[in-house]
Amino acid sequence: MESDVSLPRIEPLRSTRDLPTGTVEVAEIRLSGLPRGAVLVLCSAAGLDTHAPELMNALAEHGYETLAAAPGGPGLTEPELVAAIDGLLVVLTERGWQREQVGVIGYGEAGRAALLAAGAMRLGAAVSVSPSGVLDGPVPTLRTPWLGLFGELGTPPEAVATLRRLLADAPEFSRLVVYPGADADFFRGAADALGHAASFDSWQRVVEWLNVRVVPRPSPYAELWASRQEPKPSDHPRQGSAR
Amino acid sequence: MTQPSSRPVRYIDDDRDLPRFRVNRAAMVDPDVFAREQERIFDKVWLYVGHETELTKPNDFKTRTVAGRPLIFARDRRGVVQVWVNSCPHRGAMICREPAGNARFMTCFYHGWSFDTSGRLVSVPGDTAYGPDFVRPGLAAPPQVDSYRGFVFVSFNPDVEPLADYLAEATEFIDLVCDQSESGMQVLEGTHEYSVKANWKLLVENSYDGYHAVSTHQRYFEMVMASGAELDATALGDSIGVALGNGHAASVGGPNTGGMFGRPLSAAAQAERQGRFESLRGRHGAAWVDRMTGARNLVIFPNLVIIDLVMGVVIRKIDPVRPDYMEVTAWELVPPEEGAELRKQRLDNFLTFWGPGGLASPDDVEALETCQRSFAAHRELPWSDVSRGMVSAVPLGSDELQMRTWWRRWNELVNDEVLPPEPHDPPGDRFRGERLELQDQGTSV
Repeated sequence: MESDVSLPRIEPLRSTRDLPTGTVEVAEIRLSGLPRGAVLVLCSAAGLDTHAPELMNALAEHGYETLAAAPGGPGLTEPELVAAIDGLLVVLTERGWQREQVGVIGYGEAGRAALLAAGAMRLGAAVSVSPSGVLDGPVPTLRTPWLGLFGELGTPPEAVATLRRLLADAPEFSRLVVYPGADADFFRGAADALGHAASFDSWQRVVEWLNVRVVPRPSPYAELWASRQEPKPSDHPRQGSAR
Repeated sequence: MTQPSSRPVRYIDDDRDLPRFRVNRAAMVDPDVFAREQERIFDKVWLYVGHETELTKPNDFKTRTVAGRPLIFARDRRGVVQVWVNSCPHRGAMICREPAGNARFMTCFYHGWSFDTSGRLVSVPGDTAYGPDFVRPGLAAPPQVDSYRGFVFVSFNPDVEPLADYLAEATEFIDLVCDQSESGMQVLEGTHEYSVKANWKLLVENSYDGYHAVSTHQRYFEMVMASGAELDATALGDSIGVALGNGHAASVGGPNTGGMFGRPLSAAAQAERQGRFESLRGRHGAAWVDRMTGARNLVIFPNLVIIDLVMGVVIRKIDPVRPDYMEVTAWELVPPEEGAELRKQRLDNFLTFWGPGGLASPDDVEALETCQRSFAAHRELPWSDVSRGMVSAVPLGSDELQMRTWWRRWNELVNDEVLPPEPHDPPGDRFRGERLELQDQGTSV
């Protein structure tokens, strides 16, 4: 997430939100102009103060508004977790974001929440960074393209192979990346070569995953253009008849 | 000094009295011929771009070159196969510079215009500078795109005939390949890509040339024999050559010749293979499946090759680049439901025979490149002979009816000269068994 360009740091706005599962603290970075998209960052409660602000600023550099929260404490069932994420997405909806204009990133324990969101909702993109509970739990049928990033240390290769096999038949695209020699904190950066490479590569992948999948918010002129287009029976331009 | 002759070059000598069929080697070296081929063939007919099973997920894409044009072969968000010209309508840079991937949006790296896999322009950086009435261009597409049983073709000719009409009787041979899986044949991930310093038409000829097999591929056959196979030489002669209309043709082996050339399968793999064919008999009828078990080398005019031989199916696309240089891309088509052991042995045979580093393809490349080098003497030795089998009642696969069929179509398009087809007797019943609809199936054009 390091940048050669020194941009002013944005201090996330802190507030609380009432979700079906209780009240949670959230952090927000809102952007002026025409933001590229929005990202829901799911992290631990502690991460909201430590890792999230840096991540949110890095995403802002790529044009993404962000909302960060710890979606739930221990003991939440999977449907409750999904309901909590749904409640957080309402915050973004209030800002005018449609669901396909939103990506979700989950870190660590919240990585499984991001995968559950990818199974329950049709979002722009989903990413789980060093997720726990993903390799040994049931795998939802993906409705959102999902990227899973793992450190090799402590990640059983056979579990990764099983997950890859389960995802192969999913209706949506997914990719699993395992960083050799890296531990679960690979995304935080490290001085050693493998750790640094894993940190750098994983951030590149996260941004690219979002950029090629999150639907860009249309500009006012783009909306004007769209409103002038004749509605068509199919919104696909002519292609072959035998499909 | 004598003046150079201004007589037009005759490229095809189709003498039915001798009989004799010859091709002028100038057709292999002349840049003007090459340019006419692009204009009169590649800009006019249906051309293969890829197989639908290469795009398994929404927003999967492959980049391809067809008739020199860079294309994006993609499955859009809704699952519809699309083909786009890989060029930004803004200032021309390629939208997609990856050979394959998955992306709902592709952004031109030159000025940042972004398009979705349905071809729509979705964002333009700083679009206020264009004003509110700016007409936002989407991606351009070939004027015609269509598919037959998963094989997707494009044409740059808006008035081209329907694909099924163009494929003519070749559809029957595509069916013989596609019917080998009840769930639908599938292209495996990955390609063989290689280039040949020779005219592209030489590889077309080579792709269904049964005559060269024993001499050119002696080393391969020695390897097969050394691995314990019992090669029945008479089976090599159990074949026919057939013209299929519109320049398409095939060399076709009799029943059970399909696995003839490969390293022998293990007993378990052989049993599975036999079992698969037996189950298909109940689906399509014995006569059709007997044909299915035979070898076939099919060329869809001008440059698509489908070969079902050596216990595998190869799809080969031949791209002319210069008169003396071509690029070749090949894929393996498999029944996805087959077992791991049979798949392993299929791939072994695929790699061993067809691979660019295998024991057969490099021999072909060497042969074609020496042809091309020798064509520097095309004025002293102008003609190549392609007459074999003209006198046959039913041409064999080792005859050259297939090439003559292709060349006559080439001559018709490039030189506006229509030559009549060759009269031959119909092939025997073993080569004419019909496909029966014994069970419901989801196969359609």
